[in-house]
This record gives sequence, C-alpha cells and structure tokens, in this order.
Amino acid sequence: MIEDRPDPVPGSADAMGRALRDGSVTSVQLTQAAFDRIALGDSAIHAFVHLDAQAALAGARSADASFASGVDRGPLQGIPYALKDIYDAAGMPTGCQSRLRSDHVAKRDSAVAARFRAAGAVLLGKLDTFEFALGGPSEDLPKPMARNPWNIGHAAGGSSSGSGAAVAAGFVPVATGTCTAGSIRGPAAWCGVVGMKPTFGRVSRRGVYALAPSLDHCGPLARSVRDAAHALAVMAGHDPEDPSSVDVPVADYAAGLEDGVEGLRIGVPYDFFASDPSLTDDARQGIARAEELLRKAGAQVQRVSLPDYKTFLACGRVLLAAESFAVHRDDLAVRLSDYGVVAARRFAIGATVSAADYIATLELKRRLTAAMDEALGECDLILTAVSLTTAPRLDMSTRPTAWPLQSTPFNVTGHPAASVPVGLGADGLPLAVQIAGRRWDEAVVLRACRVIERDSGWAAKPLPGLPGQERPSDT
Amino acid sequence: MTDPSDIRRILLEAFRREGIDWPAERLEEAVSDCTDLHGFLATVREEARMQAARRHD
Repeated sequence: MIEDRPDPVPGSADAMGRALRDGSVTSVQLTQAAFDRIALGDSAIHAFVHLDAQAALAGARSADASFASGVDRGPLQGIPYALKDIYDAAGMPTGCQSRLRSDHVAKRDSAVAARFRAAGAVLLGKLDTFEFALGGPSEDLPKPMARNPWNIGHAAGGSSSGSGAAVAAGFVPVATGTCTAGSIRGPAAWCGVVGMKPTFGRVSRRGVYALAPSLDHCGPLARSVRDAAHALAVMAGHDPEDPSSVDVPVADYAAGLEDGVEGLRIGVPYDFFASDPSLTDDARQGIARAEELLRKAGAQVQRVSLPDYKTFLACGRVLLAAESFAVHRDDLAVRLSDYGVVAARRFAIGATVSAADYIATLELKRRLTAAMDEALGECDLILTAVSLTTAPRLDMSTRPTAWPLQSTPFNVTGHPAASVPVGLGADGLPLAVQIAGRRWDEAVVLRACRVIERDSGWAAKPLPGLPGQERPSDT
Repeated sequence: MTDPSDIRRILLEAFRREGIDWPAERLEEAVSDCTDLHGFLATVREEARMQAARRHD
C-alpha cells in the first residue's frame, strides 16, 4: 500500500508515481517537464545523444489514458526513462557512440525496451556511452562526452556515463546501463545514484550490443533504491530468445525493501581495498560509515577472505580483451579508421590472446566463482569499495589499470552487486559503497542498500542542480 | 612477457594474421595497452600453473 511506505525520495519515480495516482500531475506534464529540464541543462552535461519528444509525449498520453480508464501496469507507468545507446528501441538509432553505426535505426525493441514499454514507462531517448561500451573517454567520438552533474569538470564514469549523468541531473529517475567490468556501478558511484548489476542471466541481453558476452550484464541506474527495485522488476525475467537468460522466478524487489538487515552477516574483504595506495581517506571513511550503519541496523559485520583482488581483475581484463576482439574482429579488418582511437586499440589488442590463454582464463573464472560462492556461504552479503576515490577529473588517464573502480570481481563471478551513495566527500562529490549478494538474491542486496540510503541521510539529499544553478539546500 | 619489444612483435604478428592495417604512428599506444593486458595474462598463467601443480600433488 502506498500509504504504508516511507516518504519518497525527492525526484524519484516513486514520488512521481504517487503524484500520478493522486491526480496531482499527469504523465504528459512529467514528460514535458523532463524535456524542459534537459533543454536547460544538457548542453553542459551531454547525457543524451538522441531525444524523441513526439514519441515520448504520445507514450505519456497513452499512460494518462490508462490511468483515466483504471488500468495500472505498475510503478513505472507514466514515468520518464531513457536507454543507454547500445539498447535497441524500435524506430530509434542505436549509435553506440560510433561512426560505424551512423546509419543504424533499430527495427525492433530490445527485450528490456519491450518490457519498459509493456510497463507503460515513457522513453525520452538514448544516453551517452563510451564507443561500443569500451572506447572512452575519448574526444574523437561522434557525440560529446557526458559530464558529471556534481561538477562538470569531473568524469561521469563509463561506459554508462550518460545514464549516471541523466539520473543525477534529474532528467529521468530511471535509466538503463550495461556492465561488463563495472559500467553500471562506476557511473552510479561517481554520479551519486543507485546502480544495480543483477545476477548473470537475470536480465535479457537481446537487442543490446555485446561487448564481452561472458561478462555482460544489463541493469538499472536510478534516483533511489526503491526506483532501482521497480526498474529491476520490470527488466528481469526469462527470455527464451537470449541463450544466457536463466528461468528463475523474479521477486517483488520493492516488497521487502524496508525489512532491514537485522541478523544478516555482512562480510568485508578488507584485503581488496584497505592497503591500496589509491584509496582516499574519504573513500575509507565512506566504507567505515556504511559498516557502522549496517551494524547499527542489526547486521553482524565480519571480515571475509577472498582470492586476491588482482586475480579477479586479471581474469576480467583478459576475458574482456579476448571477447570484445571476437565481437569486432571483422570490422577491425575492414573499417579500422571508423573506430575512435581508444576503442580501436582496446579491441585490437585482444587479437594477441591465444586460445590456450582464453581457456585458462575461463577455468580461472570458474574457480573464482566457486570461491565467491564459498565466501557467500559464510555471510549473507559482502560490503566493499566500489571506487577508491570520488569521480576523477576528465583529464584522468584512460588506461584501465589506472581506474579507481573495484567492480570487476562480481562481473567475473556473476553475483548481484549494487552501488549506493553514502555521502559526499570533502571535494563535494558523491561517495558510494558496493553491496554484493548470493546469486539471484538481489532483494537482499537492495534491502541493505536501502538501509544505507535511509540511515546515511542520502535519501533526503537533493540532486546537485544544473550547471550554473546553486545546489538546493539539504533538508 | 612484458618487454615492450616482445609485445610489439606479438602485436604486429597478430595484426598481420587478422588483416588489421594498424597505423604505424599509433603503434606505441597499442603497445602500452597491450603491455597492461599481458601483465594480466601473466597473472592468469601463473594461476593456471599453480592449479596444475595442485592437481598433480
């Protein structure tokens, strides 16, 4: 029941849904307001690469008509959202930030876009990404790079950079991302929004441009944990047309969101991050704060042992290189000059991975997955760093070894993992932590994220405001 | 195997095999990224060696 839920996070899909249902706003008004805000702020943020106001307003009118006739298809009916520009949506271009895709228009919805459409959500357009979700940040791509709404001199993350930026800028409360090495949790962490990478096989990847098939996941970025729960419930479900999709029942992720973490055992793999020289005091304090909040909420926080973080990273990087080369092999041979320089070299170096090395890496992936399963037998959840720093400046190194994210292990093992904000650093940029859980246990991951969102005070914090505007005061 | 000259040779062989006409002026950027990748590959190979040794103990 709506009345039994806590106050909605300002600007969330949950807040919009209540207003739609009490008749204080229409979907057309929400959609028009979103386009007005995009017109005001996106020339500086560059979250969107394609907008379709005509189709969006038609969708909004249809949602309003549904409400008027008593048809309610769930929490996202009438809510504006946007897709990362590697997801197909019928009639829209899927540009993948690449000159190779300059004339592409999708004939059919991706599975995820079809699910959002069936849920009555209103698609505004497509969001910036690195080229084919890997080649960035780079200045030589067809569209400008998305900027971080908290400070446009800083990165929004990647590759779901437009998704993180669009949610943080208040353009949409929900967006889709994809995650091969951390591209949902990284942008979410740096932009101060919630990012959820579900269990491998939970969300269909049909109609989404592949990067590295053994690591690719689809999931939501959202204004709040509840919004992420609603979005995941729409996105999740078996798809017989996607061979990696698994037929496992989908929980009502929002139903138990306020149930807390009392009695849960939460393991912290300190060896992953605590001695890393890149870890800032702010990030260290963010993790300590999350530990304290979870402990106060009744969880038992304990050390957990996992294989060396560098082994997970090596496994993920080799699979990413080999598989992304396989995806782009033909185009690299005949259209090399159409790639941006970063994408070209990241894809091309995968040609040096031998079959024997690839097989050894897959075997390592199986062993690391078993080790993660074993660790998650000793505890219910894992709390760890998602980023060792707040969002770096835009002129940061583009070498993957220099990135401060620690998200790859759960792509390698396929376990669900989310990024949730825990506060602001001394530089005024968001701090976040990562919560991971057992396979198919997204509901418990989201419950822990909700404790951190609520008890850290983040739920009451306003969005950063658009460039040139003052940030609204904290409540 | 992280010596840049070895990496350069491996890269050029791979590009030739795959028909990738890589521009000479961008070769060193690719060597740099490929050096990182082969650092990761060294970790994978070491793990595989240790695993094989455990299997045959």
